[in-house]
Amino acid sequence: MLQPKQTSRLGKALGLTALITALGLAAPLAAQAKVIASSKCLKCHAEIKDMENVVAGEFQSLSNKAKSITVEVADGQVEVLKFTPQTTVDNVPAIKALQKPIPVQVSYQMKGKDMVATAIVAKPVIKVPEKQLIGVEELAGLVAEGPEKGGFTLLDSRPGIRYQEGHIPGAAMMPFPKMPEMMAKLPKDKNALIIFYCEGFR
Amino acid sequence: MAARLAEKKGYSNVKVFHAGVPAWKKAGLPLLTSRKFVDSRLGYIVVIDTRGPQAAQKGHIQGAVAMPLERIAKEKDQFPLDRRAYLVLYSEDTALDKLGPAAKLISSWGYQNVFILQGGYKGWLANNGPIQKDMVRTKIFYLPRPHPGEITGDEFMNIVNNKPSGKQILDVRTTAEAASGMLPGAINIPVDELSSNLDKLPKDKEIITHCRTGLRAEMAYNILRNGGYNARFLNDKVEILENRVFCCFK
Repeated sequence: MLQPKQTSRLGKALGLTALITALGLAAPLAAQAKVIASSKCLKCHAEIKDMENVVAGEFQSLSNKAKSITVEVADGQVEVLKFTPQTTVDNVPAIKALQKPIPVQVSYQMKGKDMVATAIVAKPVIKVPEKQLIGVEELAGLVAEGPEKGGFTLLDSRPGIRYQEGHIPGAAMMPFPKMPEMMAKLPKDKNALIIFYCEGFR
Repeated sequence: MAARLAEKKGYSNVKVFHAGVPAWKKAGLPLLTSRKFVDSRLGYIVVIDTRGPQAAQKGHIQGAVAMPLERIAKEKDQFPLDRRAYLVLYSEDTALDKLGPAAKLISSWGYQNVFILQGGYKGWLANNGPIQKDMVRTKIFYLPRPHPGEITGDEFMNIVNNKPSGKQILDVRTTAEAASGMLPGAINIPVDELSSNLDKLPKDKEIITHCRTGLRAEMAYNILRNGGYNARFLNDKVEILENRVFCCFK
Protein backbone atom coordinates (compact mmCIF):
# COMPACT_ATOMS: atom_id res chain seq x y z
CA MET A 1 0.00 0.00 0.00
CA LEU A 2 1.37 3.41 -0.89
CA GLN A 3 1.70 6.03 1.77
CA PRO A 4 0.15 9.45 1.00
CA LYS A 5 3.68 10.96 1.12
CA GLN A 6 4.90 8.91 -1.84
CA THR A 7 3.29 10.98 -4.51
CA SER A 8 6.52 11.49 -6.44
CA ARG A 9 6.55 10.34 -10.05
CA LEU A 10 8.28 7.17 -8.96
CA GLY A 11 5.64 6.62 -6.36
CA LYS A 12 2.89 7.07 -8.95
CA ALA A 13 4.66 4.66 -11.33
CA LEU A 14 5.01 2.06 -8.58
CA GLY A 15 1.36 2.50 -7.77
CA LEU A 16 0.45 1.92 -11.40
CA THR A 17 2.64 -1.20 -11.57
CA ALA A 18 1.11 -2.50 -8.39
CA LEU A 19 -2.33 -1.97 -9.87
CA ILE A 20 -1.46 -3.79 -13.10
CA THR A 21 0.11 -6.67 -11.19
CA ALA A 22 -2.88 -6.88 -8.94
CA LEU A 23 -5.07 -7.19 -12.00
CA GLY A 24 -2.88 -10.12 -13.04
CA LEU A 25 -1.98 -8.53 -16.36
CA ALA A 26 1.76 -8.24 -15.88
CA ALA A 27 2.22 -11.62 -14.20
CA PRO A 28 2.08 -13.93 -17.26
CA LEU A 29 4.55 -11.68 -19.13
CA ALA A 30 6.98 -11.66 -16.20
CA ALA A 31 6.91 -15.46 -15.94
CA GLN A 32 7.99 -15.95 -19.59
CA ALA A 33 11.11 -13.77 -19.62
CA LYS A 34 13.44 -15.53 -17.19
CA VAL A 35 17.02 -14.49 -16.70
CA ILE A 36 19.00 -16.97 -14.64
CA ALA A 37 22.60 -15.87 -14.29
CA SER A 38 25.32 -16.62 -11.81
CA SER A 39 26.69 -13.72 -9.80
CA LYS A 40 30.13 -14.59 -11.14
CA CYS A 41 28.95 -13.98 -14.71
CA LEU A 42 27.12 -10.78 -13.78
CA LYS A 43 30.24 -9.27 -12.21
CA CYS A 44 31.67 -8.54 -15.64
CA HIS A 45 28.64 -9.17 -17.85
CA ALA A 46 25.98 -7.01 -16.23
CA GLU A 47 24.21 -6.71 -19.59
CA ILE A 48 22.93 -10.27 -19.13
CA LYS A 49 20.39 -8.95 -16.65
CA ASP A 50 18.58 -7.15 -19.46
CA MET A 51 18.51 -10.17 -21.74
CA GLU A 52 15.46 -12.37 -21.97
CA ASN A 53 15.39 -16.15 -21.76
CA VAL A 54 19.03 -16.60 -20.94
CA VAL A 55 20.79 -18.96 -18.58
CA ALA A 56 24.37 -18.02 -17.68
CA GLY A 57 26.67 -20.07 -15.51
CA GLU A 58 29.21 -22.88 -15.63
CA PHE A 59 28.67 -25.82 -17.97
CA GLN A 60 28.27 -28.93 -15.90
CA SER A 61 27.26 -31.99 -17.90
CA LEU A 62 25.86 -33.33 -21.14
CA SER A 63 23.75 -36.40 -21.85
CA ASN A 64 23.48 -37.52 -25.45
CA LYS A 65 20.78 -40.04 -24.62
CA ALA A 66 18.63 -37.30 -23.12
CA LYS A 67 19.82 -34.58 -25.52
CA SER A 68 20.22 -32.34 -22.50
CA ILE A 69 22.86 -30.21 -20.79
CA THR A 70 23.11 -28.84 -17.28
CA VAL A 71 24.43 -25.40 -16.30
CA GLU A 72 25.35 -24.51 -12.71
CA VAL A 73 24.04 -21.06 -11.94
CA ALA A 74 24.77 -20.91 -8.23
CA ASP A 75 25.84 -23.24 -5.45
CA GLY A 76 23.26 -25.97 -5.58
CA GLN A 77 21.23 -24.37 -8.36
CA VAL A 78 21.42 -26.21 -11.64
CA GLU A 79 19.32 -25.63 -14.76
CA VAL A 80 18.61 -28.44 -17.20
CA LEU A 81 18.17 -27.51 -20.87
CA LYS A 82 17.52 -29.58 -23.95
CA PHE A 83 19.46 -29.11 -27.17
CA THR A 84 18.58 -29.92 -30.78
CA PRO A 85 20.51 -30.16 -34.06
CA GLN A 86 19.53 -26.50 -34.55
CA THR A 87 21.26 -25.33 -31.38
CA THR A 88 24.18 -23.10 -32.36
CA VAL A 89 27.49 -23.22 -30.49
CA ASP A 90 30.10 -20.46 -30.37
CA ASN A 91 33.75 -20.52 -29.28
CA VAL A 92 33.93 -24.31 -29.07
CA PRO A 93 33.85 -26.64 -32.11
CA ALA A 94 30.73 -28.54 -30.96
CA ILE A 95 28.43 -29.08 -27.98
CA LYS A 96 30.32 -32.22 -27.03
CA ALA A 97 33.51 -30.14 -26.72
CA LEU A 98 32.03 -28.33 -23.74
CA GLN A 99 33.55 -29.32 -20.44
CA LYS A 100 32.99 -28.48 -16.83
CA PRO A 101 33.48 -25.66 -15.74
CA ILE A 102 33.56 -23.59 -18.92
CA PRO A 103 31.37 -20.48 -18.45
CA VAL A 104 28.45 -20.49 -20.90
CA GLN A 105 25.60 -18.21 -21.87
CA VAL A 106 22.62 -20.15 -23.18
CA SER A 107 19.65 -18.59 -24.96
CA TYR A 108 16.54 -20.73 -24.83
CA GLN A 109 12.90 -21.05 -25.83
CA MET A 110 10.16 -22.69 -23.84
CA LYS A 111 8.60 -25.66 -25.61
CA GLY A 112 5.85 -26.73 -23.29
CA LYS A 113 7.53 -27.27 -19.94
CA ASP A 114 11.02 -27.75 -21.41
CA MET A 115 13.76 -25.13 -21.76
CA VAL A 116 15.25 -25.75 -25.21
CA ALA A 117 18.62 -24.15 -25.96
CA THR A 118 18.73 -22.20 -29.21
CA ALA A 119 22.24 -20.80 -28.85
CA ILE A 120 25.16 -21.63 -26.58
CA VAL A 121 28.01 -19.15 -26.30
CA ALA A 122 31.04 -20.44 -24.44
CA LYS A 123 33.52 -18.04 -22.85
CA PRO A 124 36.20 -17.62 -25.50
CA VAL A 125 39.77 -18.63 -24.92
CA ILE A 126 41.77 -15.61 -23.82
CA LYS A 127 44.20 -14.36 -26.44
CA VAL A 128 47.67 -13.92 -25.04
CA PRO A 129 50.45 -12.48 -27.22
CA GLU A 130 52.90 -15.19 -28.24
CA LYS A 131 55.86 -13.63 -26.43
CA GLN A 132 53.92 -13.55 -23.18
CA LEU A 133 53.22 -17.25 -23.16
CA ILE A 134 55.20 -19.64 -21.01
CA GLY A 135 54.84 -23.40 -21.37
CA VAL A 136 54.83 -26.26 -18.90
CA GLU A 137 58.43 -27.27 -19.42
CA GLU A 138 59.84 -23.79 -19.02
CA LEU A 139 57.72 -23.17 -15.92
CA ALA A 140 58.69 -26.54 -14.43
CA GLY A 141 62.32 -25.57 -14.82
CA LEU A 142 61.79 -22.27 -13.04
CA VAL A 143 59.74 -23.88 -10.28
CA ALA A 144 62.49 -26.43 -9.69
CA GLU A 145 64.92 -23.56 -9.02
CA GLY A 146 62.46 -21.73 -6.83
CA PRO A 147 61.33 -18.08 -6.94
CA GLU A 148 64.53 -16.65 -5.44
CA LYS A 149 67.09 -18.50 -7.54
CA GLY A 150 64.93 -18.43 -10.64
CA GLY A 151 64.19 -14.75 -10.16
CA PHE A 152 60.44 -14.84 -10.65
CA THR A 153 57.14 -14.28 -8.88
CA LEU A 154 54.47 -16.91 -9.56
CA LEU A 155 50.87 -15.89 -8.94
CA ASP A 156 47.74 -18.05 -8.80
CA SER A 157 44.74 -16.07 -10.12
CA ARG A 158 42.10 -18.62 -9.14
CA PRO A 159 39.66 -18.28 -6.20
CA GLY A 160 41.37 -18.74 -2.83
CA ILE A 161 39.81 -22.10 -2.19
CA ARG A 162 41.31 -23.53 -5.39
CA TYR A 163 44.74 -22.29 -4.28
CA GLN A 164 44.29 -23.93 -0.88
CA GLU A 165 43.25 -27.19 -2.48
CA GLY A 166 46.35 -27.38 -4.67
CA HIS A 167 48.78 -24.86 -6.13
CA ILE A 168 52.00 -24.95 -8.09
CA PRO A 169 54.97 -25.03 -5.69
CA GLY A 170 56.34 -21.53 -5.13
CA ALA A 171 53.13 -19.80 -6.17
CA ALA A 172 51.46 -17.13 -4.08
CA MET A 173 47.73 -16.60 -3.93
CA MET A 174 46.30 -13.62 -5.82
CA PRO A 175 42.66 -14.29 -6.74
CA PHE A 176 41.79 -12.12 -9.73
CA PRO A 177 38.75 -10.34 -8.15
CA LYS A 178 40.92 -9.34 -5.16
CA MET A 179 43.87 -8.29 -7.29
CA PRO A 180 43.36 -4.53 -7.19
CA GLU A 181 43.62 -4.54 -3.39
CA MET A 182 46.60 -6.86 -3.45
CA MET A 183 48.74 -4.89 -5.88
CA ALA A 184 51.11 -3.96 -3.05
CA LYS A 185 52.16 -7.62 -2.90
CA LEU A 186 53.69 -7.42 -6.38
CA PRO A 187 57.49 -7.02 -6.50
CA LYS A 188 58.82 -3.48 -6.16
CA ASP A 189 60.95 -3.93 -9.27
CA LYS A 190 58.72 -3.19 -12.26
CA ASN A 191 61.02 -5.19 -14.54
CA ALA A 192 60.81 -8.31 -12.41
CA LEU A 193 59.46 -11.44 -14.08
CA ILE A 194 55.88 -12.10 -12.99
CA ILE A 195 54.03 -15.21 -14.12
CA PHE A 196 50.27 -15.67 -13.77
CA TYR A 197 48.34 -18.91 -14.04
CA CYS A 198 44.74 -19.98 -13.75
CA GLU A 199 42.45 -22.93 -14.47
CA GLY A 200 43.47 -22.89 -18.11
CA PHE A 201 42.93 -20.83 -21.26
CA ARG A 202 39.96 -18.79 -20.15
CA MET B 1 42.98 -10.55 -17.17
CA ALA B 2 45.52 -10.45 -14.41
CA ALA B 3 48.45 -9.92 -16.75
CA ARG B 4 46.86 -6.83 -18.29
CA LEU B 5 46.16 -5.41 -14.86
CA ALA B 6 49.80 -5.82 -13.87
CA GLU B 7 50.95 -4.25 -17.11
CA LYS B 8 48.70 -1.26 -16.53
CA LYS B 9 50.56 -0.72 -13.28
CA GLY B 10 53.83 -0.55 -15.16
CA TYR B 11 55.09 -4.13 -14.96
CA SER B 12 56.92 -4.85 -18.18
CA ASN B 13 57.97 -8.46 -17.75
CA VAL B 14 54.68 -10.30 -17.35
CA LYS B 15 54.07 -13.81 -18.60
CA VAL B 16 51.09 -16.12 -18.56
CA PHE B 17 51.10 -19.86 -18.05
CA HIS B 18 48.13 -20.11 -20.36
CA ALA B 19 47.47 -23.82 -20.16
CA GLY B 20 47.12 -23.55 -16.38
CA VAL B 21 46.67 -26.13 -13.67
CA PRO B 22 45.18 -28.85 -15.90
CA ALA B 23 48.34 -28.84 -18.03
CA TRP B 24 50.53 -28.94 -14.91
CA LYS B 25 48.56 -31.95 -13.68
CA LYS B 26 48.70 -33.65 -17.06
CA ALA B 27 52.48 -33.36 -17.04
CA GLY B 28 52.48 -35.24 -13.74
CA LEU B 29 53.98 -32.28 -11.91
CA PRO B 30 53.33 -31.90 -8.17
CA LEU B 31 50.77 -29.62 -6.56
CA LEU B 32 50.99 -28.44 -2.96
CA THR B 33 47.92 -28.45 -0.78
CA SER B 34 47.48 -26.30 2.30
CA ARG B 35 47.13 -27.48 5.88
CA LYS B 36 43.86 -25.56 6.00
CA PHE B 37 42.38 -27.56 3.17
CA VAL B 38 43.41 -30.93 4.54
CA ASP B 39 42.15 -30.06 8.01
CA SER B 40 38.73 -29.13 6.63
CA ARG B 41 38.40 -32.40 4.71
CA LEU B 42 39.75 -34.84 7.29
CA GLY B 43 37.77 -38.02 7.21
CA TYR B 44 36.72 -37.67 3.58
CA ILE B 45 40.11 -37.69 1.90
CA VAL B 46 42.98 -40.16 1.90
CA VAL B 47 46.02 -38.88 3.83
CA ILE B 48 49.18 -40.92 3.40
CA ASP B 49 52.05 -40.79 5.89
CA THR B 50 55.11 -41.66 3.84
CA ARG B 51 57.57 -41.72 6.77
CA GLY B 52 58.59 -45.02 8.38
CA PRO B 53 56.34 -46.91 10.85
CA GLN B 54 58.19 -45.57 13.91
CA ALA B 55 57.62 -41.95 12.97
CA ALA B 56 53.95 -42.66 12.22
CA GLN B 57 53.42 -44.36 15.55
CA LYS B 58 55.03 -41.51 17.45
CA GLY B 59 52.44 -39.21 15.97
CA HIS B 60 50.58 -38.90 12.67
CA ILE B 61 47.87 -36.78 11.13
CA GLN B 62 44.47 -37.94 12.36
CA GLY B 63 43.10 -40.68 10.12
CA ALA B 64 46.28 -40.99 8.06
CA VAL B 65 47.39 -44.34 6.68
CA ALA B 66 51.03 -45.28 7.11
CA MET B 67 52.53 -46.21 3.76
CA PRO B 68 56.29 -45.71 3.51
CA LEU B 69 57.44 -44.17 0.25
CA GLU B 70 59.09 -47.35 -1.03
CA ARG B 71 55.89 -49.36 -0.62
CA ILE B 72 53.60 -47.08 -2.62
CA ALA B 73 54.37 -48.65 -6.00
CA LYS B 74 53.36 -52.08 -4.71
CA GLU B 75 50.11 -50.90 -3.10
CA LYS B 76 48.28 -49.79 -6.24
CA ASP B 77 45.34 -52.14 -5.58
CA GLN B 78 44.67 -50.55 -2.23
CA PHE B 79 43.91 -47.18 -3.72
CA PRO B 80 40.25 -46.16 -4.08
CA LEU B 81 38.18 -47.18 -7.12
CA ASP B 82 37.08 -43.58 -7.57
CA ARG B 83 39.80 -41.84 -9.61
CA ARG B 84 38.56 -38.45 -8.37
CA ALA B 85 39.39 -39.26 -4.75
CA TYR B 86 41.54 -36.66 -3.00
CA LEU B 87 44.89 -38.15 -2.05
CA VAL B 88 47.38 -36.21 0.08
CA LEU B 89 50.96 -37.33 0.66
CA TYR B 90 53.05 -35.99 3.49
CA SER B 91 56.51 -36.38 4.97
CA GLU B 92 58.33 -34.64 7.82
CA ASP B 93 58.27 -31.41 5.81
CA THR B 94 57.23 -30.50 2.27
CA ALA B 95 59.95 -32.79 0.83
CA LEU B 96 59.02 -31.99 -2.75
CA ASP B 97 61.98 -33.92 -4.22
CA LYS B 98 61.04 -37.09 -2.34
CA LEU B 99 57.28 -36.90 -2.70
CA GLY B 100 57.15 -35.48 -6.24
CA PRO B 101 57.96 -38.79 -7.96
CA ALA B 102 55.50 -40.67 -5.73
CA ALA B 103 52.75 -38.17 -6.55
CA LYS B 104 53.60 -38.51 -10.23
CA LEU B 105 53.36 -42.30 -10.02
CA ILE B 106 49.95 -42.21 -8.34
CA SER B 107 48.71 -39.67 -10.90
CA SER B 108 49.82 -41.99 -13.67
CA TRP B 109 47.35 -44.56 -12.30
CA GLY B 110 44.59 -42.14 -13.26
CA TYR B 111 44.08 -40.21 -10.04
CA GLN B 112 43.14 -36.61 -10.73
CA ASN B 113 43.56 -35.09 -7.29
CA VAL B 114 46.95 -35.99 -5.86
CA PHE B 115 48.58 -33.39 -3.62
CA ILE B 116 51.58 -32.94 -1.36
CA LEU B 117 51.02 -31.33 2.01
CA GLN B 118 52.86 -28.03 2.19
CA GLY B 119 54.88 -27.87 5.39
CA GLY B 120 54.53 -31.61 6.06
CA TYR B 121 54.05 -33.02 9.52
CA LYS B 122 56.16 -30.27 11.10
CA GLY B 123 53.90 -27.60 9.66
CA TRP B 124 50.83 -29.55 10.75
CA LEU B 125 52.07 -29.71 14.34
CA ALA B 126 53.08 -26.06 14.33
CA ASN B 127 49.48 -25.18 13.52
CA ASN B 128 47.95 -27.59 16.06
CA GLY B 129 46.43 -29.85 13.43
CA PRO B 130 44.70 -32.93 14.91
CA ILE B 131 47.02 -35.90 15.40
CA GLN B 132 46.88 -39.43 16.70
CA LYS B 133 49.53 -41.58 18.36
CA ASP B 134 50.45 -45.27 18.58
CA MET B 135 47.81 -47.11 16.54
CA VAL B 136 48.05 -46.21 12.89
CA ARG B 137 46.14 -47.60 9.92
CA THR B 138 48.13 -49.49 7.33
CA LYS B 139 45.32 -50.04 4.84
CA ILE B 140 43.65 -47.24 2.90
CA PHE B 141 40.15 -46.47 4.05
CA TYR B 142 38.16 -44.16 1.78
CA LEU B 143 34.71 -42.85 2.62
CA PRO B 144 33.88 -39.81 0.49
CA ARG B 145 31.47 -37.13 1.62
CA PRO B 146 28.36 -37.48 -0.52
CA HIS B 147 27.60 -34.40 -2.60
CA PRO B 148 24.32 -32.66 -1.89
CA GLY B 149 21.46 -34.61 -3.39
CA GLU B 150 23.35 -37.87 -3.63
CA ILE B 151 22.04 -41.00 -1.99
CA THR B 152 24.51 -43.69 -0.96
CA GLY B 153 24.45 -47.08 -2.64
CA ASP B 154 23.60 -48.70 0.68
CA GLU B 155 20.58 -46.53 1.34
CA PHE B 156 19.44 -46.96 -2.24
CA MET B 157 19.52 -50.75 -2.08
CA ASN B 158 17.75 -50.56 1.27
CA ILE B 159 14.91 -48.65 -0.37
CA VAL B 160 14.82 -51.08 -3.30
CA ASN B 161 14.57 -54.06 -0.98
CA ASN B 162 12.30 -52.71 1.73
CA LYS B 163 10.09 -50.32 -0.28
CA PRO B 164 9.41 -47.77 2.49
CA SER B 165 6.19 -45.87 1.90
CA GLY B 166 7.72 -42.39 1.88
CA LYS B 167 10.03 -43.06 -1.07
CA GLN B 168 9.40 -43.50 -4.80
CA ILE B 169 12.09 -44.81 -7.13
CA LEU B 170 12.14 -43.08 -10.50
CA ASP B 171 13.92 -44.77 -13.39
CA VAL B 172 14.91 -41.96 -15.80
CA ARG B 173 16.43 -44.07 -18.55
CA THR B 174 14.87 -44.29 -22.01
CA THR B 175 11.77 -46.44 -22.52
CA ALA B 176 13.86 -48.93 -24.47
CA GLU B 177 16.39 -49.30 -21.64
CA ALA B 178 13.65 -49.67 -19.04
CA ALA B 179 11.93 -52.33 -21.14
CA SER B 180 14.81 -54.71 -20.50
CA GLY B 181 14.21 -54.63 -16.76
CA MET B 182 13.25 -52.16 -14.03
CA LEU B 183 13.65 -52.14 -10.27
CA PRO B 184 10.62 -53.44 -8.37
CA GLY B 185 8.27 -50.59 -7.53
CA ALA B 186 10.01 -48.11 -9.83
CA ILE B 187 8.25 -45.76 -12.27
CA ASN B 188 9.89 -45.02 -15.62
CA ILE B 189 9.89 -41.47 -16.97
CA PRO B 190 12.80 -40.74 -19.33
CA VAL B 191 14.60 -37.61 -18.15
CA ASP B 192 13.88 -35.72 -21.38
CA GLU B 193 10.14 -36.24 -20.80
CA LEU B 194 10.26 -35.43 -17.12
CA SER B 195 9.43 -31.72 -17.18
CA SER B 196 6.18 -32.43 -19.03
CA ASN B 197 5.22 -35.31 -16.76
CA LEU B 198 5.90 -34.01 -13.28
CA ASP B 199 2.24 -34.31 -12.39
CA LYS B 200 2.59 -38.11 -12.58
CA LEU B 201 4.79 -38.01 -9.47
CA PRO B 202 3.63 -37.89 -5.84
CA LYS B 203 4.58 -34.62 -4.16
CA ASP B 204 4.34 -36.12 -0.69
CA LYS B 205 7.10 -38.68 -1.24
CA GLU B 206 10.81 -38.37 -1.72
CA ILE B 207 11.69 -39.24 -5.31
CA ILE B 208 14.90 -41.23 -5.72
CA THR B 209 16.17 -41.09 -9.29
CA HIS B 210 18.48 -43.55 -11.00
CA CYS B 211 19.70 -44.19 -14.52
CA ARG B 212 22.62 -46.30 -15.71
CA THR B 213 25.59 -44.21 -14.62
CA GLY B 214 24.19 -41.39 -12.51
CA LEU B 215 24.52 -38.67 -15.16
CA ARG B 216 20.85 -38.52 -16.14
CA ALA B 217 19.75 -39.27 -12.59
CA GLU B 218 21.44 -36.05 -11.52
CA MET B 219 19.73 -34.09 -14.32
CA ALA B 220 16.38 -35.50 -13.24
CA TYR B 221 17.17 -34.58 -9.64
CA ASN B 222 17.69 -30.95 -10.70
CA ILE B 223 14.49 -30.89 -12.74
CA LEU B 224 12.56 -32.29 -9.77
CA ARG B 225 14.09 -29.86 -7.30
CA ASN B 226 13.42 -26.90 -9.57
CA GLY B 227 9.83 -28.17 -9.80
CA GLY B 228 9.42 -28.16 -6.03
CA TYR B 229 9.79 -31.90 -5.39
CA ASN B 230 11.79 -33.65 -2.70
CA ALA B 231 14.41 -35.71 -4.45
CA ARG B 232 17.82 -37.36 -4.33
CA PHE B 233 19.76 -39.22 -6.97
CA LEU B 234 21.92 -42.31 -7.18
CA ASN B 235 25.34 -41.24 -8.44
CA ASP B 236 26.50 -44.76 -9.12
CA LYS B 237 26.29 -47.34 -11.87
CA VAL B 238 23.41 -49.78 -11.72
CA GLU B 239 22.63 -52.65 -14.07
CA ILE B 240 19.37 -54.54 -14.04
CA LEU B 241 19.41 -57.89 -15.81
CA GLU B 242 16.51 -60.33 -15.58
CA ASN B 243 15.41 -59.28 -12.09
CA ARG B 244 18.97 -59.23 -10.76
CA VAL B 245 20.29 -55.90 -9.66
CA PHE B 246 23.98 -55.03 -9.87
CA CYS B 247 24.64 -51.94 -7.82
CA CYS B 248 26.28 -49.69 -6.82
CA PHE B 249 29.65 -48.85 -8.27
CA LYS B 250 31.46 -45.96 -9.92
